[in-house]
Amino acid sequence: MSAVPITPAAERPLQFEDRSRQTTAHTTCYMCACRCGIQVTLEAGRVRFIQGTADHPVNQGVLCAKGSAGIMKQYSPARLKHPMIRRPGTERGAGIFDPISWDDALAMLTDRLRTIRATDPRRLAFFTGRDQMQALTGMWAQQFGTPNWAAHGGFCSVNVAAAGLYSIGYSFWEFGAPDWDRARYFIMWGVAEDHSSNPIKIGLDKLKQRGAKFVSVNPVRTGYSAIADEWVPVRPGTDGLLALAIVHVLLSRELFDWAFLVRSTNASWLVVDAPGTPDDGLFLRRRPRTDGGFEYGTGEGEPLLFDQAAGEAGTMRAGAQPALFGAFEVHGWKVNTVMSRVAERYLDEAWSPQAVSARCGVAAADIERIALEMAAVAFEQPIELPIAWTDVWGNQHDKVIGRPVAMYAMRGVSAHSNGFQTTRALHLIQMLLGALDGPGNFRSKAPFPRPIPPPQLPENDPATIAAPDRPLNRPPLGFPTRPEDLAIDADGRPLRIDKAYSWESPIAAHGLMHMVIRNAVEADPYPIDTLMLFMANMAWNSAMNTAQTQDMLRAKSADGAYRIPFLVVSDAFDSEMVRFADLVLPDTTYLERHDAISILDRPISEPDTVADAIRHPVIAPDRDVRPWQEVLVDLAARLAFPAFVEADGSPRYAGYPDFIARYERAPGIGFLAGWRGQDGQSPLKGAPNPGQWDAYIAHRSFFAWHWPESMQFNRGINAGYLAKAAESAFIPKPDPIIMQIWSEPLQKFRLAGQGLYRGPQPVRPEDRERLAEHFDPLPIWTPPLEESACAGQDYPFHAITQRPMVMYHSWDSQNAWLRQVIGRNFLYMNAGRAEELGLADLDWVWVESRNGRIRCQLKTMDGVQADTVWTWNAIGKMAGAWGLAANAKEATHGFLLNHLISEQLARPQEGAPGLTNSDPVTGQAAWYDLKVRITKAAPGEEGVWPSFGWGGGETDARGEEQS
Amino acid sequence: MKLGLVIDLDTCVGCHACAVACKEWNGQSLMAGGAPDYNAYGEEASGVWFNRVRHFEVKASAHRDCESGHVNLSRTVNVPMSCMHCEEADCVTVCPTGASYKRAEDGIVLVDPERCMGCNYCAWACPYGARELDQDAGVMRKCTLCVDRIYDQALPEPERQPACVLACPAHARHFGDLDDPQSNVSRLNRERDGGGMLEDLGYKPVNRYLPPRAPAQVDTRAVAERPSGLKSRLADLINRAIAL
Amino acid sequence: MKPAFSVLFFTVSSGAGLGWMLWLLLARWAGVALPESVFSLSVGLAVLMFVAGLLSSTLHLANRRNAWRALARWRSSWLSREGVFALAMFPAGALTLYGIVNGAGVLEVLGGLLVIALALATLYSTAMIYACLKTVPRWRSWHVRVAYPLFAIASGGLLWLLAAHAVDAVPAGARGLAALLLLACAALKYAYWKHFAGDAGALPSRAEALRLNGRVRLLDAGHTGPTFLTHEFGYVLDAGRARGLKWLSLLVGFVFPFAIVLAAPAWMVVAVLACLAGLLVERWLFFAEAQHVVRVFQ
Repeated sequence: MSAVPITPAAERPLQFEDRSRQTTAHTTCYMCACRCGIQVTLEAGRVRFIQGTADHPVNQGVLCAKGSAGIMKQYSPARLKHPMIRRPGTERGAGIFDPISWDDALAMLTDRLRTIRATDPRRLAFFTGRDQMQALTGMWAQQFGTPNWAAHGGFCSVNVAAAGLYSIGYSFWEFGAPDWDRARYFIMWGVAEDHSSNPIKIGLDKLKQRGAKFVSVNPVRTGYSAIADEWVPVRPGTDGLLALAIVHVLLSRELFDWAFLVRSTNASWLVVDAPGTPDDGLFLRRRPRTDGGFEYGTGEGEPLLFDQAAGEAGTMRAGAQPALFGAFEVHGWKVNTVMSRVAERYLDEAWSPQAVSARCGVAAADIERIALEMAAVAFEQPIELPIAWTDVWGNQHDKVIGRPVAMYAMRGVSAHSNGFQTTRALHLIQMLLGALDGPGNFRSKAPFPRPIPPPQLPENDPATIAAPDRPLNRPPLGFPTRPEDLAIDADGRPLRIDKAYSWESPIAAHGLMHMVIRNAVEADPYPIDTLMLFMANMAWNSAMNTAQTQDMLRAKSADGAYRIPFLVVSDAFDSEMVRFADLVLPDTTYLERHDAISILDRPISEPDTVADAIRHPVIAPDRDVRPWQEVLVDLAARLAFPAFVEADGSPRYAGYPDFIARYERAPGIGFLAGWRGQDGQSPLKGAPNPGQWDAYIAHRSFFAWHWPESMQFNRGINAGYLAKAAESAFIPKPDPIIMQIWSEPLQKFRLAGQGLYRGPQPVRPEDRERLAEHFDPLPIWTPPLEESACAGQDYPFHAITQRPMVMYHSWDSQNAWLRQVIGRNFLYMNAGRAEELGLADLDWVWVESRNGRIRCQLKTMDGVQADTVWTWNAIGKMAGAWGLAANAKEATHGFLLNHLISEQLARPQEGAPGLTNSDPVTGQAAWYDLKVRITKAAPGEEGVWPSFGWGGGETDARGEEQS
Repeated sequence: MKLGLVIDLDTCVGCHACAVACKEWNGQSLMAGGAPDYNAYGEEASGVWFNRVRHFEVKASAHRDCESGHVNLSRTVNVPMSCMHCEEADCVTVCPTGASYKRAEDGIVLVDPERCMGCNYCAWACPYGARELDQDAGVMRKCTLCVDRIYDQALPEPERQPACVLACPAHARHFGDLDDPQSNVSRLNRERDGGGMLEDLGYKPVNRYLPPRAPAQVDTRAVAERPSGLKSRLADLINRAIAL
Repeated sequence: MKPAFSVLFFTVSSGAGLGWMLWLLLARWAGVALPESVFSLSVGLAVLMFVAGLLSSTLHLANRRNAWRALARWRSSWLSREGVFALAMFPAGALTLYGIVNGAGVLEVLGGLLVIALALATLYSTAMIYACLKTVPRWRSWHVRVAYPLFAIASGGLLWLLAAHAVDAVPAGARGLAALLLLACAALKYAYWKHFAGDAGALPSRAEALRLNGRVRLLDAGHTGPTFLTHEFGYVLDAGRARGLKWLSLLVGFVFPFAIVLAAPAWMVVAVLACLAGLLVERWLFFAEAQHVVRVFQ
């Protein structure tokens, strides 16, 4: 064979694009909730190329597969084209619509909302999906006067968020980030692809280049876990056991950071030891009396510790030497320190690695070793940075010490009914190691850390809620600290349609969107009139028990009226939920609108940088759509919300951009922090700047403000940081934020469950039991609730999902490129276990739970925990949705596990409603608690089952014919 | 010059960012000529991709965990593959029309769609699956190493890189001159013992793959020596004096 | 690999046509006198088969309008060379025919030698198109390089015999030669399959290809639908079916015609059809059984 012919370049000249025909704009991606900065190249009014914005705080110039596929999202045939109204005489869910003009649609909607607002504002339920403008939608709901608003956190991340906000002042996932540049040990719990995706990828590479050890605790080995140095195949729902066994090992060998515990946490605070009394388990406090002395008790006042220097109890003030361990008597009160209680509990052999090993599926030796590895890195490889900083007690330090163990946790921990306490257990490990908010740790990002919990209570006054034509006094969502804060009436019944902040879900910080439809249909606690959903696929992959959810949407009363009388859906694309709407208000794509990715919302800050960003239209819509935010601002003016109209009733704002630029939540504080002040020279706080949007656009659509070094670490006790944070209105006052190992709010709820609390107490025995068992003020592990729901039945497998890297929930099967990567899904099983069961690759199998069954196709792999099966989430579609052909593989071979999951823990008994299949503390939907059994399908049984028709009446997931 | 890519299998998380960025760039690239999709919204979409990411499992030694069953602590490795711009590029040798050519100056292998007759012979000659037929135009398409980006003086210098390299979030892709021993790619290749795929076949692929590193370890001997059993000593434990 | 019918037809038809031309020429030079009409018809049909094959080979081109460029890279490409030799057959053949028709012996010999050389070169180039590929281990053996010319001459011989038999002009030894060639074909094919029965021709393991330690399996191809690569190289032939087809091709393509040639020459047309059919099956198997190394990655 002859040599390879070589061609001089001159013989075949290159062709370059004509840059003079192209323009470049910067905006923010919205293919997922990571919110990377993007640079969009346009030519002749069409998108030519999308790449990452260089130096952007989130993505620093890179872009994931979804971001680069944005072009195909922009030109997807699934885009809605104009407002639609369900044709009179047709059935909801059949998807038969007539076009309607925006004027008519908004007039109709305004009339209806106005009537609701003037009679019973609760009858509007407004729930939003994967948006990033909760700050606006929540405000809108508050102005309307309905408490029935939340975003989707209740079925997504609330366990992780709330656990962090009630423990350390910030949290995994949305409100903090690992220190990728300095960590020497990184352990990740329950993380598959999910936002913030690009920062994690960038960070993992940095760790590996540096030789840091990367451990992934996850039942499945794909994605990030693929490149982990050590993969720990934990049994789903048992991460908390594993974590507390690590706590046991650390305590047992005295491997904890005394100084950190004393200074940054409440480990030395004194807890009343008086079982059976209303004061048991509360902090002993003192408050000044008018005569100059002090009154000691629980309730009001500063919490106390035992000051070794003074030889008596005192507060956390400069010069004190708190005793970490000890039992004392203080002014007649028998108390002991939080740390003593920690030791007493977790040193028990029940938490040893040997005791938990079988349950969590991790060898005892491995648990012990991982704990020792963390300790070795934390205590033998500390980092010292020569940074001068002052703490809240006036001490001036000349360095910052870091114990460079970092952690991260997400959905694999959150989506269990024990996820809240599990996350608290992870924070306990971090606190013991002194590995929080220092160099090499999981660090806070602005506007966090915030007081524990953030000082915002949800609206819970029935009179205020019932009052017509008035805003609520408080936002619909907040952070209860005691039973009085619950949103319940005098009889203990929930005030909210989703029963958030009731005895069933007391600390439901993000609401329970997954319960809205059932509760509305069953009029429990009361019926509603209008359900407005924004970008939430509640009729499909965001629902538990999909078939019944669809039936509920279609459910009618005896008189033939729909139990949910009016259903308004806003979305940009033809999702399954859109087909169930009565009124469809089409949104724009992310390239066609303004958006504010605000610090007041879910921030894109990094630990060293306060950041926010905007979107602005880089393309004009070619169809009759309007950005949902514009519609909200328009409706707010039509409905005369006080914040949106002038005294004479005329609209205050010209539209959404004007609202964002001029609205001030507090003096000088608005949705966007950059270029504030009349001259744009006052970042973070300043008067509204009419040129603010232009300033953002001129700066590639993002704002980044860098914290001085002295304010970057130990923020909860960093005086400089706290002062600046208070000035910027991140926190109300520059008071220390002391991390809470022992959570007093939880204890108060537990006391209520025990019948001891001096205040509201639950009435139903099941609520009492749940509070008594789950509201443990120290992290605890309890088996997932599904186990008792399945008791006595044989469902040997855990069934979970993972998020793929190329798709974000249901958003991307409409994307011609991304659906080539994943156009259908399989159920993955451990190869060894499959062989035992006589199952092989590509077998069709029945997957059965206590709620129903499905049929799908199996694949085997080694990298999955032996008792776990999993699939990529949200790949299955209903035939014809999302602009796809009716015989799309997504409909014939794609499937959801959702059909198997019930939103209730058990079939309701006569007269008593079933408890929600959620974490008893936060109401987080317990998706991953699902237990199933797998059997091989008979020959000829192929194709996914069930398949759903748009007219209903198909066999439901239980295989029973619908009447 | 021997321009090519170095791909780090130790940090590739298999996110397909490179594959889609490539498709995005080349879908409208004048040099690549397009990367069409077929049946884009139909029963099953397919299309031309110049870069594909494949996911493999490596079985390690069998490891029997506690009572929950045996779990092979396997490893998942993600492998993006595109044209290797081989030194001994058979795809160029076998091409009857001369559509497939290798540039003398930098070694980039390209397809000239004006000459290609779509016989697929080059695809048969390529062991890496780098070439795919564009059914609409009837010509073969492949990675151009973004030759219309790397030499485009109208682009800012940092952007004169292949789209896949710019996009990769895990920074697992590196571009440069493997003929230059001081270049970043050459250095990486040396330090990490990189190599080409299927080198025994004799194509001399220019793209190099850095193998997964041995797992990082932590020395726990010192902390393991700490006596355990705090529970029994708790009553006698003396509090440290730590002042606020 | 996916066997394209146009390619199968090309090699069988063109090969048989070329073989027939060789037999016509060599038999003539050996003194076998076929009636002029029969000779002309044979030449015409042989050329037709050759040309039909060539045209068929362009059918599988996705961009036929550039087919004329296929001669450009003769310096490196066997496909180019095949084209060059094949096209050169036409002037060489024309020269030979001119010499035959006009009784110009020198021209006939010159042209004829050219025809023989070019025909063999064409056949060899066709074989080399496949045999030169490092990506298909099952094609890299001398069996492949010999097979194309051998099958061409064997099948061409049967066609020549058919015409000769029709006019009762079969010389002594011709049937024996044809039978021997068929036997040689069967033996070659058998030897080829035996050679690759074990590990020879196996693809490298995934671990080798990817430079990983341990046993490697594909977890996810990176696409859930078909691609050009799965379509072109993903064909998997069931082992049982393969075995059946091998025996079929041997028996129908070579053994059965062998028997007819020796024992029942009256059925020569059946022998021809059977041989061509068997060759098609053999060609189909040649592609279907071949595994392209890219499969290691899919």
